[in-house]
Amino acid sequence: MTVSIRNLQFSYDKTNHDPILEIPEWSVAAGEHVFLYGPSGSGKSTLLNLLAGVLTTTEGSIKILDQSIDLMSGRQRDKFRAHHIGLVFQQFNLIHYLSALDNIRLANHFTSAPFRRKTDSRAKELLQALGINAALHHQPASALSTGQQQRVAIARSLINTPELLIVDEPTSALDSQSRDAFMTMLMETVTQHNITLIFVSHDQSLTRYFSRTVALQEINVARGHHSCLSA
Amino acid sequence: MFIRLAWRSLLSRKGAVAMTFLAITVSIFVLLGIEHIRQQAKSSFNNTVSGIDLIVGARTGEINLLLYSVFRLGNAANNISWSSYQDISTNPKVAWTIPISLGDSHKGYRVMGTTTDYFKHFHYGQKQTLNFTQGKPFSEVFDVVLGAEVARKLNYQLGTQLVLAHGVASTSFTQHDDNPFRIVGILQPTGTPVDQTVHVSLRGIEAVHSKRGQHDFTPISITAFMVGLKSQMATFHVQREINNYQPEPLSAILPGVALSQLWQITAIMENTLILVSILVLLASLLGLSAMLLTSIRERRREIAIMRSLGAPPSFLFLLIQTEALLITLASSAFALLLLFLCLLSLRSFLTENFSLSISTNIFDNNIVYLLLIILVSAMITSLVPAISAYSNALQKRLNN
Repeated sequence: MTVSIRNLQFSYDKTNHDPILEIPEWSVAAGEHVFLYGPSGSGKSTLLNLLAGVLTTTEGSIKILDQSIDLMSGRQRDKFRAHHIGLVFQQFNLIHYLSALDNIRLANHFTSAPFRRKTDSRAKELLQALGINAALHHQPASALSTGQQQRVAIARSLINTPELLIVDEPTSALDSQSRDAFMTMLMETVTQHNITLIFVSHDQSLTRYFSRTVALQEINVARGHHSCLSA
Repeated sequence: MFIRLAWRSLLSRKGAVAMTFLAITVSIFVLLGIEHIRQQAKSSFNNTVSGIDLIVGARTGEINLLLYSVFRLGNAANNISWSSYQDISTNPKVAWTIPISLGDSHKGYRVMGTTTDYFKHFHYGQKQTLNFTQGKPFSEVFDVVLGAEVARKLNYQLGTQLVLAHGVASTSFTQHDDNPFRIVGILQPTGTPVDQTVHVSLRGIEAVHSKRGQHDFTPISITAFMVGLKSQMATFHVQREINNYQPEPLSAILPGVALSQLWQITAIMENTLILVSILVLLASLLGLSAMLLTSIRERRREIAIMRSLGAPPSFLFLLIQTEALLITLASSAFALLLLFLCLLSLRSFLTENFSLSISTNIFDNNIVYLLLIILVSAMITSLVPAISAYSNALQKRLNN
């Protein structure tokens, strides 16, 4: 299993006994492409933070690639994330003052030395494959269009050949034509690299691209309400 | 990648970074400038006399005697009789003496009456002797030897005649124009008050002040004299003898000790200047800290992205510290360049107007230590924004 959750409970306030996330059991198999949806404030971002190892569980366990990330130290989680997990956000994915190529190099910077080899050539290959021509490689991210930024973000998330790709609302800033082009490109890329994908969105029209669709409310049995998820 | 990231991050905030850079550059320039000129001024004063064991004058304060006899600053309160001078100069412990007679001037430059022993025994800097660019020491009564600056500024050549004026003001109404002097020698530059001095013989001084028809130009009195001893072991003994000299009240000073006393007096002013420049630098470094702290708030998205890529909080801490280091290094380099250019362009002005020989070589130990202290101070003051970035990175969740 790529993702395996057991008896997960999470609360931002440790003294609050009403968790905002309570997932008895949930798993995602290797190579699976999961569409996770839910209304705003339902806990999607919190779950992604937990899967990425930025937040740690209040109770229960999360295993990513059969390793309990909740038992790792902060430094170990950071390294694990750099090596095994790719993340793409809704927008503002890139560091605006760095070039497309430098944004990708930065992602590789946090991995161990063997992964740094041939970074540039692999980064250029990825950018080329995602339709970013060489003339744009050295452009600052702020000079790229939203669609181009999203493609650079995908390339960056793939540079360390992650086993798990977590994508959070990547199409909300795109028009329907760009959205379809982006989704086609994303699905082709993850299929080609055999990457497990967890795609979060509230746009259910995208479910057609996925083999599995999950509503967060179905797996989250927590009764507590929270107001700080999008903080 | 790390340095490039810090550099690009700074370039993305050009306006705020440029203002901070300028503030730090100016404050480092002021601090290093004050320190360099202070050191050079001290060194210039210390280099003015070398190898002179005692300076003797009429009873007065040590600093006053040093200032008028060596630096030609101020005036003597009284003279020494020629007989007392001859008596002391024949002391068996005394190797040589240089008599000095001051009081006249030429176009604002001090005239010093002395003997040819001056050109033989007077040393400056690291025991350097006086050398001639042109000509030779005076031998006749109305011969004159010019310091390098006097000759250059007044455009005098060998053989030119000049007239001495009574008193030391730049404009004098009493000219000794009936006794013109002829230039027989021009000294090489020394970077000391020697360059601004007109040297004549004691007999020449006596001649211009003598009554018509007088033919004996043996001086009646002199202003002071410098003493070289056969053995430095005898310095304090001879000093005590002169200070207790019965025929007339005299003062004998050790030039090095008198200079130390002078530095003690000027130390208060020096320390005040340094303190002010340190406070200016501190204010600039706090400005740097404030600029970086403000940037943390603008960079929450950037921090979240780096965290998502696997950047540990310590990376963010070091990134902020590196940004502070880059600004301070760039400011230090620019301040040093500015200081070098200023010294290069002001060197002749300082020499001509303040008799200060300032070197353009700004890399001495003190400056290097100061630069290290500045860098460490910058690191310390940027701990606040760096810790803020660290804690922000710890708390920041990955979302939109």
